[in-house]
Formats: sequence, structure tokens, C-alpha cells
Amino acid sequence: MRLAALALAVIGSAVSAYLTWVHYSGQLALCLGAGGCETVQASQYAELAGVPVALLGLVAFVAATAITALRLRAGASAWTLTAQFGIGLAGTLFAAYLTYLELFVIHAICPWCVVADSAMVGVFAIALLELRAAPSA
Amino acid sequence: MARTPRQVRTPREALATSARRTGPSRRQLGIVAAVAVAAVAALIVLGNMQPPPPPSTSAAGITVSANVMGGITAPVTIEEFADFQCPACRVFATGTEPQLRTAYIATGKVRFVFRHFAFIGAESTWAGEAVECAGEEGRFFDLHDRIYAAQRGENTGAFSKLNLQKIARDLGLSAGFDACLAGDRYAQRVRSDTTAGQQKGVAATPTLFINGRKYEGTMSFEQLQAIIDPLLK
Repeated sequence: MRLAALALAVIGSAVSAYLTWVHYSGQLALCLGAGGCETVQASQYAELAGVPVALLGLVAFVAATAITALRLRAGASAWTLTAQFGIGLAGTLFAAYLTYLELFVIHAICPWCVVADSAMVGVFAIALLELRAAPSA
Repeated sequence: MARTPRQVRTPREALATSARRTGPSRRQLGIVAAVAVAAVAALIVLGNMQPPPPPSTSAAGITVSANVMGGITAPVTIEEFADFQCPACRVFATGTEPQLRTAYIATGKVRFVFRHFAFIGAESTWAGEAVECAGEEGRFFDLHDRIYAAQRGENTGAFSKLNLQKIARDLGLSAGFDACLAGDRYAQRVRSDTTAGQQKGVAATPTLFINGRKYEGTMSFEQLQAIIDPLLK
């Protein structure tokens, strides 16, 4: 399960890194089937207070990668699970907000973003499952 | 003066050992959850505090209605047929028009009408659609000016829909603009303008009709003045 969390975090990092590169280079994103990537990336919501959303995602996923990698070690301390829970919760809430924007404001869905959002939800879900398994202090 | 390793390590070791035995406490999780929720809320609020759209750049003190600048009572009407990819149109738009606006349009002497004559390529049509979309927000001429300023060769991708959306975003246009352009809401409008131009004998851009009389090619402010002033007498 911890390995799955790491894999999701790595996938999320790769997608965010790609979208951040797309944002700064002005290139068009490779579209996975359905369009909408350009509309979403070109919309005013692609940046939050001047910071590209993709870059925010990259920061969160790199942190999640580091944390989930630490958790692979035997006897990883509890704070790593707390951190994974925190990053996962914040990331999932933010992903929900962005998906709301895509569906109801921009009216376009960006497949890359869906992949990244799902990866974040997965990281959070695994944290929750592990928390249920671990006895609380 | 250096602290002994023992003093530093012992509490950490104790903490790590206890944490390993049990999961994180509910209290810890509660604090982390509160921080996470607050951070996301702050991000969203921060993101929605967008700077107010900049005031109209093209026409201080001028009545603008879609593609028309100036009041209907103006004695002289200039109708321009232009293509956003045409270099001569750019010269007219960036060199002559600003002076025309301050000296004649703002003073109520001239009414200026922009018509599309999109013949250079698909990007001409998209740029034309874009200014019409901006017109929905009262920013037709603001975007008109920005697009001409961004002109870079013909059919080179400078006015791809993506780039036009970026130009519009810099201008502070709404998300409605993106939908308008993506949906080609004004494609028919640009085509019908172009057809109307052909019917009126437009063969090159820019072509000006000043009180109905046709003038082909770009014009300096002085040349334009020489035509307008007699009409005002």
C-alpha cells in the first residue's frame, strides 16, 4: 500500500512537472483524447495570485513523493503518516475546487489535471486506510 | 559549550519510539486537518482576489458600443475594413488611430466603425472573433489595440486561439471570453462583414470609407486630417 502511495505521488509529480513546463514554455499540452487542455491551461484560473496551479501541484506532489518514500522504510515514524494525511487532505480539497472550476466555470475538462487530481485523492485515501489500521495514541 | 549528543538525542528517540508504537494522535491529526483546510481556503480566497480589470485603455471619455467608437451625432463617419494580420492595418491602428481618437472622436466630430475584412487566413478570422467577444464586455477596441500590438507575421500562430486568450487575459477579460472564442460565437459576423466589404468593393486593407467615399491603404494622421477637416466646415 505504501508502495502504491509512492507510485501515485511520482505519477502526480510527473504530470504537474509537465503541466508546469507547458505553462511556462507556452507550448500546447498533448491532449489525451478529449480536448480541453488548452482551454483550461489558457483560462484565467490556470494561475492563482500569479502562481501557476500546475506549479502548486508540483510542490505538493514532490512533498508527497518525499514523504511516501520515507514511509517505505521499516519503522517509519508516525509524523510521516500525519504529513501524508495533511498533504493528501489539502491536495484533495484543492483538486475538488479545481474540478468544480473545470466543470461549472470553464466548461472544459483537462485530462492531465484529472490524472493529477486522482493521484492526489489516492495518496489521501491510502493515508486514511493506514490511519484506520494504526492504533491511535 | 557544545551540547552533548546525549542531551539532544534522548527526547527525539523517545518520541520516535512512542510514535512507532502508536499512530498519530487524534489531536495531531485534528491540527493538521485544520491547517490543511485553512491553507486551501486561503489559496482559493487569494486566487479570487483578482485585481480589478484595468480601465479601458483605448478610449478615455469616448462612447464605445461594440465595434463603434464615438457618438451617432458626429458629422463624419469613418468605416474601416481591416484584417488583424495585415501590417498596413497595424500601421494605421497604432500610428494614426490614437491621434484620431483624441483629436476627432473624443471631441464628437468623428464616429469610427471597425469592420472585418478577414482574408489573410484563419488567424485573421479568430482575431476578428476575439474582438467581437471582447465587445460583449465593452472592450472591443482595447483588445483591438492589444492584438495589433502583438502582430507578428502572417499565419505564424501569433493569433492562435490560445494566444488570443492569453492576450485577453492580460487585458482582464472574463472567462466568458474564452468560451465565446472557443465556441466561434462571432465567426459568422466576421464572414458577413468580409462579404459586405467585398460587395462594397474592398480589395485591400485597410480600406476606409469616410462619409461613404472610399480610400484605400494606410494613411497618416495629417492625410486623414486633410480629408476630415473640409467635411466639418
